[in-house]
Amino acid sequence: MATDDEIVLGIDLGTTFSAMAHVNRYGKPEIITNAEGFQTTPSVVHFYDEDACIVGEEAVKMVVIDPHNVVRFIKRHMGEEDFTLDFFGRDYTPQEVSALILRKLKEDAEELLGVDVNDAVITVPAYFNSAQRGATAEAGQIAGLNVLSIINEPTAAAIAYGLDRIGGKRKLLVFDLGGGTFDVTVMEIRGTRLTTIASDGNAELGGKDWDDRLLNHVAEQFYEKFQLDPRDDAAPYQELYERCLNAKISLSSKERAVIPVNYRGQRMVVPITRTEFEELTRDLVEQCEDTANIVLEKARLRWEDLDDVLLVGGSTRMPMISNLLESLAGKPPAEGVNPDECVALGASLAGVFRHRPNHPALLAQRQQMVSRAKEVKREERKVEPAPQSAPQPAPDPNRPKAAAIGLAYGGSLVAGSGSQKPPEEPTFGLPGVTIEDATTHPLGIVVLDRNREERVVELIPQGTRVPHRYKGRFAYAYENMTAVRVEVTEGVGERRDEVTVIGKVELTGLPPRPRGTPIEVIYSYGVDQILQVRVIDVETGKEKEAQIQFQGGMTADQLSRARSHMRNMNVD
Amino acid sequence: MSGKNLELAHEFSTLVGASDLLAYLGMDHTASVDELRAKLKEKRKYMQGMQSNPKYKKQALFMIKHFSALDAVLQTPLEYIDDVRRRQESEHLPVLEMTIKGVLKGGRLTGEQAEFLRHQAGELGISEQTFQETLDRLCTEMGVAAPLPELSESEKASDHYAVLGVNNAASRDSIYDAYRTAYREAKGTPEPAAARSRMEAADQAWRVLGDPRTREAYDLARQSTAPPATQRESTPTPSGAKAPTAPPVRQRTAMPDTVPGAPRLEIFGEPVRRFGVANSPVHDEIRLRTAMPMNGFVTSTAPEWLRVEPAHLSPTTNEQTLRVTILPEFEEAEATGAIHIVTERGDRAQIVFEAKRRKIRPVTAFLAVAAILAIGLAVLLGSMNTIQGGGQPGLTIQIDPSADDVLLNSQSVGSGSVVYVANPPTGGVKLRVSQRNFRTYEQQITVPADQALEVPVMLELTEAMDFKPTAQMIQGTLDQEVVQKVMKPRSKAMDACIAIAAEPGKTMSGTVRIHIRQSGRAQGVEMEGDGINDPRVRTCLTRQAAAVYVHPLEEGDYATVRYDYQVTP
Repeated sequence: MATDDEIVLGIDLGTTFSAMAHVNRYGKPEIITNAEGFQTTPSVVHFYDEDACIVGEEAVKMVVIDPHNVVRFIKRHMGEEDFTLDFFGRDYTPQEVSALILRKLKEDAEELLGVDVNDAVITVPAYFNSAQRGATAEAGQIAGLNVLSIINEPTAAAIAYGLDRIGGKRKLLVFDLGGGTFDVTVMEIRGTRLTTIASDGNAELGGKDWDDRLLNHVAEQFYEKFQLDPRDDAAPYQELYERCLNAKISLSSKERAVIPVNYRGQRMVVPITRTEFEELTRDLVEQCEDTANIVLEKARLRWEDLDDVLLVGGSTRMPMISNLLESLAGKPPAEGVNPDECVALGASLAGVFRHRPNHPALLAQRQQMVSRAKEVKREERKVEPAPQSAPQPAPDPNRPKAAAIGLAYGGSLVAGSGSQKPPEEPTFGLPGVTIEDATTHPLGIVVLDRNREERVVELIPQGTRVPHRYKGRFAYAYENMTAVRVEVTEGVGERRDEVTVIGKVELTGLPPRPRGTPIEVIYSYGVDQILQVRVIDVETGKEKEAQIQFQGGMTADQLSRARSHMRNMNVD
Repeated sequence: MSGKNLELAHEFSTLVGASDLLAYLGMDHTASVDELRAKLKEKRKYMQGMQSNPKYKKQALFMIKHFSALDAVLQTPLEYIDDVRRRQESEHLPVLEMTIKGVLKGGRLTGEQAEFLRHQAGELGISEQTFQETLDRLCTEMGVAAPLPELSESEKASDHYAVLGVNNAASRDSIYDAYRTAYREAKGTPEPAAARSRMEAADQAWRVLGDPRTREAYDLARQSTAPPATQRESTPTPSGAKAPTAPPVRQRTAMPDTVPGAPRLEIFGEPVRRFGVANSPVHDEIRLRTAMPMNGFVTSTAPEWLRVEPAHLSPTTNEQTLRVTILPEFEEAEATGAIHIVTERGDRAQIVFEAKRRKIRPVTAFLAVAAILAIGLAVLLGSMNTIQGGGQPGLTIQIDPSADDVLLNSQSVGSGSVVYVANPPTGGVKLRVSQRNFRTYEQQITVPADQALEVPVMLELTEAMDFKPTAQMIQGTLDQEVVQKVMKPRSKAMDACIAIAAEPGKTMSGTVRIHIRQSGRAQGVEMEGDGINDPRVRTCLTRQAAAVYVHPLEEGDYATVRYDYQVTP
């Protein structure tokens, strides 16, 4: 059993960059720098031998030298079946490649903190489906981490952002445009409760698409001049990609940039202005805008109803994105949040809230609240000597007053609405935040309709607040059935081939009875995003219960083999 | 191997813009399975580095995801190249199938018919092997015995087994392996001329032995021509040259060689003919002479308005006349079509017909209807058994309503409502006319040697056309294209039926519904409109309707073909 102050690593496993954080014993989340001393680590792996690889900055350098042994953007393939990459005769699944990145993070954290780190909370884009979430969890397992939970990136970002703003009632839009994924989430902070109202996104849209536009633009110009396409060769392509990436970054602060191309002895310098770049990527920005509008519509909100807009992910540094949101929301996006770090910070906080209920900082906070409440009472008594006969009820420790929290949470971060003065001596603590997620994909069941054709019925719609319980009755489709099978589906669609079957529960050994015999099905979806399915035969009371967990596609056997292989792998 | 893998391989080839996987890998058919697989693996590794490259992303991801499928495909390259060939040809295959089906409708397949079909297949760019496969399949489906393919003299002459170094019991796979080895060795021959001839010999050997049907024909030809012992002796040396002295193989028909230089197929008259067409058909004829009596085929490129009869050349005479009918059925004001004549020896001729629509004055139109009316009455009454015709000798068989097949002494001479036989067998001839839904008509006729003879045939219905769909029945759908094709030639005759009751100056309109049973045959007819009360019209229409044959229904119990008529005198 983990001790209460044992570290929970919050990991933002990104498409292009990863970051990690932990909550120190005073309740303050901190980014853990990697062995190279940077806040973020590139999610790039270079395999240089059968059992050796480099992760991070060094691997990026190898991209031009050894392009066929370097993996980037593996996150885009998480949860994809049949996707393996071959290095030195061994096939690597996306889980295994991600595991190598996670292992590097874990080892760097251990080195920096000087303690063993086992438990972790890993974030995923809100729009990830269960296979992608499952694959992420599997990657953690392979890396030797005990993955306590998988949480949504916008939720994590909102925790990090909202912690010093708890108290009131605020509506928050989290716009998360990372290297390879994109999602928009509307959240509500009410007291210490953080609720996801609506979410949507695109797991195939990210900064990489902006880079590609730039790359294609440059390659086409080069081709026009020399009839040579630098994209045709791996190493020149990678070199050009790096240059385009740098040009994109500098265009965020400068008005113009130049991209030098050098391929097969031909040289060319392609100048590009920010306006040109924005023109090239206009439709991508429109795509973002559409998604944001859809989410607001789902949340039944208007732009002016939002209190804050939070930009997360490195790609939101592009002026076209912040301008877009400013023009949509009518006010500048929230400041003081580092888009690269807040997800990891939030993840570490979520780890403490969920899995370390007795973390010293939380305890300190509670204690302070109790003493604070006593103090308030005393003061009240002093001011108004017993005007009421009934004693005032003690404040609920889970729903503390705004002022109390603001004061208690490390003086410097105060943002509460209270008029109280900060206490003299510095105090440390962490208020407990309750996280209410919502389902990002509808969950359903396969049934036979009146024409005995298979149809998918949605039982838990998208955007349902979790935990959630659904109870429903179904009936025998045929006479004399002796077994019923519940097929749990995920995704939008009425036909079976439009959705994914994520699990099956079979109730067997039933007595044969006529058509229409009732069968009860209960879906319970928990905060840990695990679906519990119960199938009950109403007449006999016979029942079967099963847990549907996200499956990343690897069997237990494959996982254990992968784990032993990874253990022997040299990760630099 | 699963079809899904082949499907994926095809998809991948399309994606990368290569004709097939082998071409994508930069390999040819001489590469061994191991070489192919190694190359694919190498390619995959390369693609791994390209998967984030926007230009190659799609193919790289496809390659990574479906590597095992592509790998599996390359493990059985023979199956794969067959599949590729089939896919490349599939575009033209339906046309070939239709042609074959048309020929097989006659109930059998003669050597020259097969030759004609093979020629057509070649024109369509369909390989010998696919043609054979298709022919065999359709023959089996339609219950027709398929002849073995004909081999050319050089194909029969070589000892293909020896060229490839396999024995004559070798499996197709091992023959393919041997072919690849032989081809590769031939390629490596230092002397270019020898290399080419060896490669050609290997190719030819594979062409003959690779297809089970040609292989069977080849085996048979070898058995019949030379005893195995001598064949062994004349086995070519590994240099791959053809057998030095190939004994002549069995002659199909005794055909004297023509005088060198003399044309083997002569057509008299203009090669391009122009006609003005009003509302009535225009007739023309093509006179031709072949170097010797021989079989052949006559086809029209625009059968909807340009008809030619008979569809075969008569093998009994070397001078014959084809009757051409130009119907006013073309859509535009002008139309161009051609009649192709192909003899069994491969001689070809083409006569182009250009038809121009002529404006008709009302008087002419009336006369046209009157003419149809007269024919209709004459056919309906069918009073005369034989009509002595003047001028051109030959036999004309007028069939009401029409025939699927007309046989003279059990020799198929054509189909339709008018069958003209230019050179009929003379003397006592057995005439047999068959048509679905009608009793087969048989008659002994005497054909005079030098006079024209016209025989009207009136077929009798076997079953009453009284089927009516009930509410419980499910209506199926018909291929409208087929319906159009079937109804178009029939519409003239049906209009003529209604014209029986025509009164001058009165427009007649109404609807005829022909109910098609599941088999595709007409089994019922319902009519309403002007002139239907006339029993002659009813009988005439019923008979026309009964001759409608569409296609078996895929689903449903019945289907209905609706014919709306409007006859303006």
